[in-house]
Amino acid sequence: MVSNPTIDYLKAYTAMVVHGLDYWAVPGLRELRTKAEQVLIDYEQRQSIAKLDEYLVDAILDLDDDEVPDDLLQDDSSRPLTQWWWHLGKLRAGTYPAHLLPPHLRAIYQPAERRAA
Amino acid sequence: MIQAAEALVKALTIPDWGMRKIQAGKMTQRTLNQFNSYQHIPEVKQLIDDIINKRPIDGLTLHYLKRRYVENEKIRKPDDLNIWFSNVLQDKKAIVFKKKTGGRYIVHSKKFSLLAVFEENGQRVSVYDYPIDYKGDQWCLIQQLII
Repeated sequence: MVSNPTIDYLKAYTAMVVHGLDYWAVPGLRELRTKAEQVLIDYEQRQSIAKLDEYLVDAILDLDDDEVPDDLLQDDSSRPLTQWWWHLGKLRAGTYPAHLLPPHLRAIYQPAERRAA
Repeated sequence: MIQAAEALVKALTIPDWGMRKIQAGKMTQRTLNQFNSYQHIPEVKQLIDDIINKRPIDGLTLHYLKRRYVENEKIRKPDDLNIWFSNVLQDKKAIVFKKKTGGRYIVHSKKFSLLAVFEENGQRVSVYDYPIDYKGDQWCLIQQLII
């Protein structure tokens, strides 16, 4: 069977978020998300990944969870801010610029100033 | 290398997934919401009771129930996860990746398209589909750790 890279990347990201996130067993998550972004083609695939992104961001924003790995929260300033998955530390701290998030993630994100209010 | 080999042997021979105490928070609520539609099933009901009463949960049970009911995967029994895990660690060509201090071991089997994660003490953490090459820093092959 010939493998389809688009499907394979989507499968890997899905499995990592669905099965790895509960235990923070998500090695290479940000690299994988970048690759998935590059290969996604159709609307349905983008919808699937949007749902997974919501799970991820929800988990990152869960301040009661103290098991979020430090390396996942170490942002890579060489990556564009629009690639929010490289800036999970800012997201968790509430310092990520909300307007750069896609609408479905903006809906669950609370910037620091709103958290304090 | 010796520590890694010890952890690997333990992960391979002792199917220990640890006990998890699920804390309050969004993730817990999400887990409860996910299982809500299946609470009529005795094993799910037990899990929900344990979560609500903050009792430790067996990692294997949680993995299994989530895959079977929430994700509707073709998994018949908890031991299927042990079989997948063992398959990865018994694949001599599986790649072991460099681990950060205090971090977990990651092993990728191209043959089974699976990624297995275990703790420094050999406790199993997770195993899931990974049909692409894992891009971490490669360290060695399983066959170099287990002679």
